[in-house]
Amino acid sequence: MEMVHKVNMNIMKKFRILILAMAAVAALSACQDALDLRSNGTIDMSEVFKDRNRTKGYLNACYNYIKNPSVNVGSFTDDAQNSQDITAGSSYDIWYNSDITSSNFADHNWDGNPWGNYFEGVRKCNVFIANIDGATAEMLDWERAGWKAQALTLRAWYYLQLMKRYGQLPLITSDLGTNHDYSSDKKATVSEIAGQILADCDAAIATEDSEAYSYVYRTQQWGMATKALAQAIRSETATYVISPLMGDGGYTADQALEIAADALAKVLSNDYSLWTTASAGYNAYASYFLYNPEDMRAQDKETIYGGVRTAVWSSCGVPIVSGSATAGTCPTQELVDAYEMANGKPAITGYSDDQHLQPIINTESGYDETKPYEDRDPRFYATVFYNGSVRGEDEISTVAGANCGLNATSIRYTHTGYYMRKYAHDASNRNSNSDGYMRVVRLAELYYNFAEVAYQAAGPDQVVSVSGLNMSARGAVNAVRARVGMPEIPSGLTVADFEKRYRNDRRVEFALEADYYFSLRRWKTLSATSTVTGMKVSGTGAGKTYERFILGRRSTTTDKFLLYPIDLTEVSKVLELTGNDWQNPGW
Amino acid sequence: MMNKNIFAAAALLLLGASIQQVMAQDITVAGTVRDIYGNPLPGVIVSSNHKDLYITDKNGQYTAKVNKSGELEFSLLGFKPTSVKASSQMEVTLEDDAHNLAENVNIGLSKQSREVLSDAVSTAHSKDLGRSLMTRLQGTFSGMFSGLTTMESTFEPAYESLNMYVRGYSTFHGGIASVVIDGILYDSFAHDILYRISPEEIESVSILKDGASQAIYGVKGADGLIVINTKRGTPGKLKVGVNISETVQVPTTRIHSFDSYTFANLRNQAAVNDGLGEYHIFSKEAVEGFKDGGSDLYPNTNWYDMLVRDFSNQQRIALDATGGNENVRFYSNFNVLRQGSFWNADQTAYKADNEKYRINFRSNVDVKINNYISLWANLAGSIVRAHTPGGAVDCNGTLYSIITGMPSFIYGPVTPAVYDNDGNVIEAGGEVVTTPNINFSPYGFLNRTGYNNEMNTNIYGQAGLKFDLSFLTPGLWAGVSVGYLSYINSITSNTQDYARYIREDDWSDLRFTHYGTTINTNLTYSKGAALYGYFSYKGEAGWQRDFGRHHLNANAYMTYQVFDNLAGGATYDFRRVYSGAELAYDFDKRYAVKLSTGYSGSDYFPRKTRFVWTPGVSAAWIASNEGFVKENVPWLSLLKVRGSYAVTGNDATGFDRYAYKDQVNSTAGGKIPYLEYYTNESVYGNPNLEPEKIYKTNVGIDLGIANQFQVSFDVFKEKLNNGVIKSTSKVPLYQGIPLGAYPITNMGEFENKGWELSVSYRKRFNSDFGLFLAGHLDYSKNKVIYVGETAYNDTYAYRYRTEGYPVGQSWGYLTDYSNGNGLYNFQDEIEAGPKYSFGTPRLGDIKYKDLNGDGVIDEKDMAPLGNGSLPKYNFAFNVGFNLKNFEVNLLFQGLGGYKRNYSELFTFQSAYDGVFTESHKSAWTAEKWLNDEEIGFPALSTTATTNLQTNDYLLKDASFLRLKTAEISYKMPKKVCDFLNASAFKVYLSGQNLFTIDGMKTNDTPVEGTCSAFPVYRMYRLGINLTF
Repeated sequence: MEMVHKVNMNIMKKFRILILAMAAVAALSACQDALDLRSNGTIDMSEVFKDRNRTKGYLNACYNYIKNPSVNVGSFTDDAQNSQDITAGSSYDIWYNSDITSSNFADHNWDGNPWGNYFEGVRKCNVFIANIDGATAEMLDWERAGWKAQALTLRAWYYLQLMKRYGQLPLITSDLGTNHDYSSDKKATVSEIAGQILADCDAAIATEDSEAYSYVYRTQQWGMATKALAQAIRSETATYVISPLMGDGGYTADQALEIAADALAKVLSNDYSLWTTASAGYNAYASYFLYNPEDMRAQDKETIYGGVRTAVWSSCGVPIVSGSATAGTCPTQELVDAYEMANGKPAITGYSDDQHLQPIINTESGYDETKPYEDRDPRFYATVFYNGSVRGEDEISTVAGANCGLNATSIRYTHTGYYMRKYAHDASNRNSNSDGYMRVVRLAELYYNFAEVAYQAAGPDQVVSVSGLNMSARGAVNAVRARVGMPEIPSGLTVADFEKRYRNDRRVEFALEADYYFSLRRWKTLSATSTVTGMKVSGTGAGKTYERFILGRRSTTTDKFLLYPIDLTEVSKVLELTGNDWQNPGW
Repeated sequence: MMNKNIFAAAALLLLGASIQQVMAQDITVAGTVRDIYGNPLPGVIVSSNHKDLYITDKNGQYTAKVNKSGELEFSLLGFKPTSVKASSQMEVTLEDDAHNLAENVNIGLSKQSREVLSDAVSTAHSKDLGRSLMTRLQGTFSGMFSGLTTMESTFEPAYESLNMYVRGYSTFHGGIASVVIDGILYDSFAHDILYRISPEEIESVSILKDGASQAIYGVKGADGLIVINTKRGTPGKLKVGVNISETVQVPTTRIHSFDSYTFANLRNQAAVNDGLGEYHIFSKEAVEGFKDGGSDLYPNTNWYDMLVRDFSNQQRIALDATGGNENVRFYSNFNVLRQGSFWNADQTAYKADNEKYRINFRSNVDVKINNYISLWANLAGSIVRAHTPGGAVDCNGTLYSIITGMPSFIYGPVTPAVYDNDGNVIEAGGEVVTTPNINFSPYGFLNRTGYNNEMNTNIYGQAGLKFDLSFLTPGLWAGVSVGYLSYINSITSNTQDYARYIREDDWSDLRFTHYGTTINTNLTYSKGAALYGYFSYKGEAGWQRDFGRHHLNANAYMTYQVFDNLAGGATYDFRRVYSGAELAYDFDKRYAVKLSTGYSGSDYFPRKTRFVWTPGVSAAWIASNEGFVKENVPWLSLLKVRGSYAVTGNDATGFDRYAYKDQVNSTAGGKIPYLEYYTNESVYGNPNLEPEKIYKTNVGIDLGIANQFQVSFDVFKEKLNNGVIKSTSKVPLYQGIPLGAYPITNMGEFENKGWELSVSYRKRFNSDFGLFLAGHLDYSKNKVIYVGETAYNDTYAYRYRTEGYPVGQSWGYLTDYSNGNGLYNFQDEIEAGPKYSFGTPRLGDIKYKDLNGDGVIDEKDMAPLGNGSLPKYNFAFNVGFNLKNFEVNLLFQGLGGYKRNYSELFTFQSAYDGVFTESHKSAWTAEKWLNDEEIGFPALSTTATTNLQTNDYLLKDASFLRLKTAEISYKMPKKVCDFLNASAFKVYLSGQNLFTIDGMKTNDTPVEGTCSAFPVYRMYRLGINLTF
C-alpha cells in the first residue's frame, strides 16, 4: 500500500511538471492564435498590392472623388437667379442676401467645401502611385504603366480642382500616414502646384498607348482617365498660371501658350472634334447636350470627360410640365444680354446705370428692344426659355398670371422672366425623362483655353504653330462659333477688345455651366457681377411691353469670393499645428 | 488548449481512482452548537484545515471525522468563528459578532476571510436580498451594497430593469460592471442572465469595488464586478422549502387625464398665446358643453380609468430541496411566477391583455468521487413566456404612453350604433375613434392590434472537477471547469390593424367618418428569434495552508472565453483569455497583505499589445487583534486599517471592435466597370492600440466598538491615462484620411473619486429581542480630463463641452430669473432683451441668459445643466428588529446630488391634440401674472416655441428617499410546525415602494422615469414560508 502511494506520488510529481509545461505552452501560443481576428472579409493595406483584383479595385477607388457638376451652378453666378431665393434659409437666400463665413460656406456654396474631398482623392492616388511600381500582384507591364498613368492623371485632376478653388495649398505627393509631423507643412505657390500637375500629366501622357491608358475609351471604360483628360488638365492649368487671379510669374505667357497649344493639337490629332450634328427641332449646340456620351464615342467626339444626366424638367422646370418641382435656375437678363445677334454683332455692350436698367444698345446690331428675342445667337434659343418660346406644343408666356407667368412668390415660377432650357428636352415629363447630360470636360474648353493664353501671349490674330497646330486665338473662338453658324469675330481687334469678345463668347458657350463660375474668378471679374435683373413682359401681341427690373445686389461677389475659404475648423487646426494662418484673403 | 486540460484531468481521474485511502488515526466528533442564550444554531459550518466537513442541522447538531490532533472550526455568519481542539464530544457556544468577521467573502475566484480581507468588497446574503419584492435578481440589489449605485430604468412589475454602477464610472465610456457567477466571469453582454435568475437561488452576492479585488480579472476588471454565488447542497436529511406568495400591485402615479372642460380651456389658452384668438380650437359652445362632466355630444372620456386596472396581481411559488451525505450533496430549486394583467381589455376573440409566466430551475450537485477528485455541476435555466398586447415585444410601456396622448374630449372608445326613426340599426358602429392629429387609440391598441408572445429560454450549465492535491503538499488543489450559457428568444406575433374613424367637425351632432386605415385586418402571424451561446473553459489551482500563525492563501487561474452570436452578426462575437494569480498572506491575523495580478487579453487589440499585466497590492493592519489593544482597550472590538493600489484593465471602448486593424474590403463593382473591382478602406487601424489601464487607490478603516457598533470609511481615486478616444482635433483634413475613419488612440484621460461611509449597530439583547440598524452613504464624482476636444473660441461662454465635466454632462440655456419668474411678462421686456437665434419669444416664454453678452442667444450661451448622468450620492438605511416570533425589517434607499430635466413637458403640450399634465395648469397667462398668481410653466402653445431649446427651466433636483421594502414576519410556534410536520413555518407581509420623499411637486414629474412611461408600482405581498 505504502509503495503504491509513493509510486503514484512520483507519477504525480512528473504530471505536475507536465501540466505546468502544457499550461505555459498553451498560454503562450494558443492564446495569441485564439484571439486573432477571424476573417470578416477585410484585409489590411499590405495585402492590397499583392493581388491583381484588389490593386485594380484600389485604382477604382481613386475615382471616387471626381464630382459631377450641379445643374444649379448657374444660380451662383449672374447667369441665373434661383427661384428658391424666396425660401428663407435656403442656400440661394443666403448666397444672394447674406454674408457667408468660412464656417457656413460649405453649407451654401454649390459644390460645398471640397477641400477634404479632393485631398482624400490625392491621398488615394499617392498611395497607388507609391505602390504600383513595386506591386507583386499579377499584371502585365502595359497594365502597370497604364494604371499608374490613370492615377497620375487623377492626382493632377484633384490638384487642379483644389488650385482653382483655393489658390495656394500644401503640395502632398506621398501618403502622410497617421504619424506625420504637421508643424513644418507649408502652402506651395501656384507655380509649384501647377508644376506638379503638369509633371503628372506629362508622365502620364508619356506612357505608351495601351488598352489601359490612351486617348480614347474602350468598352466599359466610360469615366476612366485618358490622355485626353490629361491634355485638358494641362490646357486648363495653362490658363491659371498666367491668370489675373493666380499668375505669380512662375510661368511666362509663352510657356503657357506652348502647353495650351500642344494640348489642343494632341487632342485634335487623336480623334476629338466638336459635335456638329443637328437633330429635328434642335440645333447642333442643343443636340450635343441631349446626347448621352458613352465609351465607344460613336457620335460624341467632343466630350473628354464625364456626363451626368439632368432632370431639368423637374429641378429647373417650366410650370406647365406636370410634376415640375421648382423653376430653379432662371436665367437673368444679364445672360440674355450677352448673346450676340445672329449677324455676329454684340446686341448690348454694357449698362449706363449700375442697376442695369438702362442697357447700352449696339444700334449697328439690329437689336430691337420691342422684339428682344429675335435674330439672336442660336445658342440663346438652346439655353433659355423666354416669353414666346415654344416647348413642344405649348407657347411659354411669362406674363404675370399666364401659364409660366413671372411670380416672385412661388418657387415653381420664374423670378427673372426666363427659364432654363439647356439640357431640356421638350418631351420630358414626370413619366419619362429625356433630358440631357452635363459634361465634366469638353473639347470646346480646350479651344477657349488656347485662345485665352494665345491672345495674351501672341495677340488675337497671330497664328501659333505648335505640335502641328496652326491656329490663332481668334481662329480658336471662331471654330467653336462655327458649330452654330455664328459669323467670325472680325480680325484686327485690339487685345482689350478681343478680350471682351472672347470672354463674352466663352460665357455664352458655357452658359449655366461651371466653367463661367470659375472664369469669373480666374479673370477677377467677379465684382462686376453683383447686379442681376429680370424682364417683365406685359400685354399680348403687338401691345407687348418689356420692362427690366432689378432682382437684387449680391453680397457674394466681393473679392474674398475669388477663392474658397478653408473651413474654420481646418484653419484653426493648421494655425495650431504650424503657427501659420492659411486662410485665404478676406475670410 | 482545452484539449490539453481535458487530457490532464482524465489522467488525474484515472490515477486518483487507483489510489487507496490512507488516513491517519481519525476520530468521530459529535455535538451541538448553540448561541450564548442556549438556542441551538443550525447552519454552522464545521471545518478543519479550511476543509468543510459538516453543517449543523436544525437542532444545531453535527458529526465529523477529524484527525485526532486536529482542530475543528465552527463558523456562522453573525457569530465569532471558534476553533476547538478535537475531542469526541464537543458542545460549542458561538458568541455574537456584530462585525461579521467570520464571513468568508467570496471574491469570485477564491474566498477570503472578512477578518483579514484587505480589499474593498461589499456583500449581501440570501436572506437580505430575498426580502425585496422585485422578481429579477438585479432588482433586489437596490440599497443593499455600499458602492453600488442602482438606477431603475423600467418599472413594469416582473419586467423591471436596473442600471448598476460600481463606484460610478471608471472610464469615460461609462461601462457596466461584469458578473462572476459561481467562479466564471461574464461581461455585460451576459447581464441578461441576471434578469433570469430568481433571487431564491442566490447564496450571496459580493461587489468588488477596489483595484486590488478587480486586478485579477484583467481587461474586464475596471468597471467593477458583481460576484454571485448560488446555493449549494448541505449534507444531512432532505430539507424542503416552500415559499408561496400573493402580491398586489398598485401604480404610485397616474396619468393626468384632465376632464374635457379643463382640457379645452388649456388648449384654447394655448391658441390665444399663439395669437390665434379666443375659442380658436374649441368653440364657446363646446367649452360650455364640456362643463359639468359633459355628455354624449360633449364627451368626457377617461381613457385611463377605462383601460388601466386599479391593481394587478402576481403569484409566486418557490420550492427548494437540499440534502445529501458526505459524498453527494445537492441543492435544487424550482420557481414559478405569474404576473397578471395591468389592463382592462374587452377583446373576446383572443387574449388582448398581458400575462407572464416565468419558471426557474436550478440543480447544483457536488460529488466526491474519491479522496482526490470531486465533481461539481450546476444546471440552471429559466423559461419566460410573456403575452403582451400590440405587435411588438413588451408593448405594455407603449400602451401606457399612448394613453398619455389621448385627450378626454374624444368620443369613445368606439363609434355608436346609428338607428333610423323606427329604431332599426342602420350602422352597427363599434369602430375605433381617434382624431386626425393622433391616428391611434389606446383602446384600439389594446383590443385590436393583436398580441405578441415572447418565449425566452435560458440554459446555463457549469461543471468542473476539483483535484485535492494535498498528498503533494497539504492544502493544494487544482480544478478544471467548463461553463455554458445559452439564450434563445423566440417571438411570435399575431397582429392586426383597425379601422379609424374621426368625428366630424360639428359639436351639435354625433357623426363619424373614416380616417386613414379603413379596414379591420385579420390577425397576421410572424415569427422572429435570437440566440447566442457563451462558452468558458477554465483551469485553476489553489493552495491554502496555515503554518502556525502564518496563513497563506494562493490561487491562480486561466480562462478562455468565447461569446458566439449564433444568429449571426460578427459584431457581438468576441473571445478573451484571462489569467491571473493572487497570494494572500497574514501573520497572526494582525498583518495581512495580498498580491495579485491579472494577465489577460481580448481580440479587440493587436498581438503585440493585447495582453496586459494588471498587478495589484493590498494590505491591512488589524490593530484590534494586537495583544496590547485587546488588553488596554477591550471595548475596541475592531480596528482595521486597509489600503490598496492596483492596475485594472478595460477592453470595452465602444469603438469598432477591430479598430487596431486596417479594414480594407475588396468587392466587385466600383465606378469604372473596366477595373471590375472596388477596394475600399473603411477603417484605418491603429496597430499600437492597447487596452485601457485604470489605476485605482483605496484607503479604508473599519472601526468596531463593543462588538455592537461599527463604522467603515473608504476613500478612493481612479485614474485613466490611456483612454481610447478618436481625437482628430489636431488632425487636418489635407492629410487625406477621412476624419470619421481616422485611427483611434490611447490618449484620453479621466478620473473618478469618492468615498463611502457605512455605519451599523447590531445587538441581540436576549434570545427574544435583537436590534439592527445600518446605513451607508456613498459619494462619487467623475471628470473627463482629456478627450482631444476642439475648444470653441472665446466668444463662447464655455469653451469646452466635455473636458472638465462629468460623463453625460448636458448643455442648454439658463433661465434669467432676474425679473422674478424667468418669463417675459410684457412686451417691452422682450424688446429690451437679447435676440434669439432660434425664433422670437412670445409673452410668457422663457427669458434666457445672454451669458457672453453679445445681445444674441445662440449656441455660444449654453451652460452646463446638472452634473452628468450619474447621481453623486447613493444611500440606504436599514432598520430591523426581532421580538419573540416577530421580525420587522425596513429598507430605505435613495439617490442624491442629481438633476433631471423634465423638458418633455415642453413638447407634450403641442403634441397630437395637446397633452396636458398638472404642470401645464400653472402656465403663464397675462391674467395670472397681473393677479400675482403662482406661475410654474411658460405660456402654453399649440406649436413649437423658443421654450423647446434645451434649458434649465424644468431641470429639477431628482434626489429621493424611498421606503424600498418593509417586511413583518411571524414565525409560527413549534406546536404549529409540529402539527404540519414542518421544521419552520413563517408568515410574512411585505411591501415595496411604500412611500417616496422627493422634491417633485406634481405627479407628472416622477422622480424616476417620465410621466408617459410605465409608472413605479407599489406592491403588497402576503406569503408563507414552510420548511420541512
